[in-house]
Amino acid sequence: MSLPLLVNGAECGPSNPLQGLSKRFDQDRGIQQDQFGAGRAGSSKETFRSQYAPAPGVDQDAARFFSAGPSPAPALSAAPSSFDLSALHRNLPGAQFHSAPPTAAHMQSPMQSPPLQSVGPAAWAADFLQQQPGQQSASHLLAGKGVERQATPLSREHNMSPLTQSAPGAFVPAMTWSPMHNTQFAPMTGVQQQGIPQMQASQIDAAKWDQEFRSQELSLNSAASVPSAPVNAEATETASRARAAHEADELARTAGLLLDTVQGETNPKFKNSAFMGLMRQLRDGELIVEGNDFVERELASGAQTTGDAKGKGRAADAPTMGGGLRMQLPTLQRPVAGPSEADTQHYAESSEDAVKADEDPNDAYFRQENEDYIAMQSAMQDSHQMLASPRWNPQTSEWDNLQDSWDAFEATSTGIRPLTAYQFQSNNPYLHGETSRTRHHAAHGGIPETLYESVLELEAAVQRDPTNVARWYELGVKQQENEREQKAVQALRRALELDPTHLPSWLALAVSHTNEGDRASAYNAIREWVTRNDRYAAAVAQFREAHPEPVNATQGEKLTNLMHCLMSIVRENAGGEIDADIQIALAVLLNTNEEYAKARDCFTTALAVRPDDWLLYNRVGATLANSGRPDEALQYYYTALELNPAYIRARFNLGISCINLRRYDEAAQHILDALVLQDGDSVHDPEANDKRGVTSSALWDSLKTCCLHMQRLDLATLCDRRDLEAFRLNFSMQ
Amino acid sequence: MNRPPPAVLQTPGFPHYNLAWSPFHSNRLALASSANYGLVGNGRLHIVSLGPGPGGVPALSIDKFYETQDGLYDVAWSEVHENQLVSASGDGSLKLWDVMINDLPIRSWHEHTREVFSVDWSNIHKDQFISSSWDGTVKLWTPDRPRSITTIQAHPSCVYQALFSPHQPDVIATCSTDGTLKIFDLRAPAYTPSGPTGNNFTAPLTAAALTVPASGTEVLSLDWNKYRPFVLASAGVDKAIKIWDCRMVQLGPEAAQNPAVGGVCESQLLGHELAVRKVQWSPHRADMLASASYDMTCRVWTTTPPPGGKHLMYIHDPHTEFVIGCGWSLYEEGVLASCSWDCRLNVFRV
Repeated sequence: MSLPLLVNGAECGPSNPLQGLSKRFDQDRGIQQDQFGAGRAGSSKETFRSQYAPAPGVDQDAARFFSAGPSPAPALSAAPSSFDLSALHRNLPGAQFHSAPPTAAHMQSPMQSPPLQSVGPAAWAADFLQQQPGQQSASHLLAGKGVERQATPLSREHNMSPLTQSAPGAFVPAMTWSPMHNTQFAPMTGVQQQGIPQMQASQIDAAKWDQEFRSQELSLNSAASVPSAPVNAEATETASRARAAHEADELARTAGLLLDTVQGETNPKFKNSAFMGLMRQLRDGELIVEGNDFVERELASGAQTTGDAKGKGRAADAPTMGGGLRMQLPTLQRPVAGPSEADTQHYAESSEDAVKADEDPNDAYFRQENEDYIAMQSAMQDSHQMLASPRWNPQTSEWDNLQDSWDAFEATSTGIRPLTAYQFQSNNPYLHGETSRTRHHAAHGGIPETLYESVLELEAAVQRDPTNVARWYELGVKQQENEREQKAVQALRRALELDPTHLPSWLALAVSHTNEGDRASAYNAIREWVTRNDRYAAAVAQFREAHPEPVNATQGEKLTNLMHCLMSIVRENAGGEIDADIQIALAVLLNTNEEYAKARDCFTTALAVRPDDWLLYNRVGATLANSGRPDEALQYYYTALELNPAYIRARFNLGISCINLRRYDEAAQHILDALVLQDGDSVHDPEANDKRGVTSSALWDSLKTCCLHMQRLDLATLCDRRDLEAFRLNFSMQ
Repeated sequence: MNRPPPAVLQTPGFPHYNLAWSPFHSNRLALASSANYGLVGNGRLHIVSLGPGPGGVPALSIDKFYETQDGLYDVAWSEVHENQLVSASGDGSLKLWDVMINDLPIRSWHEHTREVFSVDWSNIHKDQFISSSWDGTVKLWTPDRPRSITTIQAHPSCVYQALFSPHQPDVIATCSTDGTLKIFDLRAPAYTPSGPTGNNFTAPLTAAALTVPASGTEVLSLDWNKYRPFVLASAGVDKAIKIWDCRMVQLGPEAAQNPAVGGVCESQLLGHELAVRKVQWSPHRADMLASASYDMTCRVWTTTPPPGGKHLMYIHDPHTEFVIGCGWSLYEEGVLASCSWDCRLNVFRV
């Protein structure tokens, strides 16, 4: 009935998304966590862009559901303690459907393909071969690194959660990868960690192995232009572990929610209930669904590899199994609960005891073996951490260096080019020097020499004078304004390479990193800014002396420390002239920390000093929008656009706030304007007709969401095709 | 008062979902069950008979069982053929069984796109039965035809139960996730006019003669009172059993044009500690009903308590898991069967 559906297809969700969303088990966490998952992850991601709640691609109905606000939907008003098991039942098939996290992950990274659904080994091989070319080209489009590209096929395998692996041998293909690299790149970090399981895995099934090897070899040869770059096995392992664990636990989460709802039950029957026991096991990941039945995790994985030897089979699964094993650790190692412990814990304990009490010899055997295995695994990792210290192997560090420098390059069909460097648009008409600036420009511009109008002009200026820090900085800021974060970062990096003491660049870089959700980099940039700022050198030194930073401070502690440092400086200067920059720096940090109200105060203070800074108006607006006040944000965006009508980011933000306020027509117009501006500020390549101007996908995605809200499927399709011209025509025709 | 212990039948590995007493044989029951609590796995349909046991205590025994590929959620006996019964399955199929034939169903229909959660045989048009499904539809069938006769788009979400009125031909009541109880007249099928937001093309909804906003949450079960026409009981996640007087309902074609909303709640029976999964009126008394609940009890209530007395008449507590189904014997007054996820069927006298 329902659970096999979960394994078989994506269409298993409720026919009406509302239905799935309104399940009472999810009413507390499910909606926010799942559907807003992407959005929330993005909250630090797009700090100076405001966000709208439904992630692009989320079903239209779902979007409508959320925008309906706190409407008295009957299902949502359920008393928290009431529950209905049939709802759980429905929830299970629905789990895959309305669990946004996997979807969100796919949206964020186009390199991840959806989990394979039919996983017979042969089918898998065929699939893999078919997908290989497409995938390669996809990764060309992305400015992906070699490592990432190589990692993809692997992660594709690990992508399959234990839940979806119904066919035996599903893991064999994944394992065949690493041994191959093992032979080619012996001194690779991380491989050693997998080494033992792999060696065992390779003994599993010679025939299958052989077959897979050949198909892998084929695919590798087809990608001959890409030298088989080293796999950062460690990274892959963690990533896949996280993913597998996540997907397996959709079911577990549901079970957990169910258990939470009956947590308050005092009836002893509930403690002894076999069904509740089953739910507990599902929650703790001890049971998984395989085919038509619930199976103990260990048994299931053993069966998946091959039947020959359970020990080997299980070891072979180690990289993926890790998540599951680790998940169980808390339960296994939990101290015996005292009588005052919370009910849940008590339940878990009693169930565990119960399991121990009446488990049959087989179960006991597996449990014991499982515990041994966990111990062995953790011991192995400890020793590897020790080994990873400098005395480990000089060759390795050399290799790391090589790898680092390799990472900095992007392999393309035409050759290898450095990745970190800023890519200028080709055929830039402004590149022909000042002669290309017509009298018309000069006569009507009325602008100072340094204030260039467009990215192209700035790029040309930079290309003419590639060592001018100020030009690089201006280019970076312009790219920020134009909603092209990646380019902005590259330009700013270049500026800082040329002159590490250029303070405005550090600040701008921090803003960019905040937008990208890279907290650590944002923090580093601000820190650099503070450290290199001569004006506050004394104050900073004094603060650092008073509050020495612990050596092993966590990122969060460092952040707080830096914030306090800045605050103390601001406070000391309270009487004097306001420094806008330090207010901005502080605001950026506060934004990183999602303290929007404080951040807004800082920005407004800075605005008092620089009333004509459109960037600041936009930032105040975005901060307001991020703290859930899109209506108030609007006026700031308007002011920013009055000051600089070509400010694409403010226009885009305005559009998003309009979406949040459900003014979809208006929103579509604003985003369309932003796209047109962005498109206009780039060169159309006459030789490649299909190559559109450089427009950002974030804008297109938002526009599509907007069109879906407007019930304009036709327009949404055009968004998918990124056909700006057609969209403009159709939109004006409505 | 010392009650005799209930007659117990255990079916290890197959938690029960519902039971049905045969309308032809006083001692025969059908029992629908699903492995793994209906979450994954097979189903099994048991034919159970109640006979004299050792020491004069009645005992239950399995006459026969049928294996199915998917969990079974409900079962109903034919009103025309003493040996036939129809089962509702998790894969969306309905199967007609003949107890004289082993192993395989004599007919199978597969039209529902999601789990079929209830099936009911009309005792007025004795050749018809209806099924309700999580796909939001209710379908009308006759054993002779390979396809359904009518499909009603009853609710926008799961329909947990659909039952024929015992008094009026072609009148059915449904209950659903959306918190409503609806009464449909099968003779006047019409679609609701599409509102400003609705869309009749992709999501049509059949017009109900009456829509009762029964609960703020899901309504899991309902039943028609056998003696008072248009009095219904509903029960669900709100833990209460509610008695509705729906006599204001207008039937016929003109009623479909202006669907009514309403219903008078006569009384509420409170006492279950968790959601109520099943409710059934006594076939012998107008004021008595039984309920089964996730609080692991089965309870018997009266709607006309003596002055100062309580609605609650009896609590049946031996089950050790959720009680999912209960049913009154049609022949012996006061005999109730209850079935549960503890794989035990209990038959006892109230």
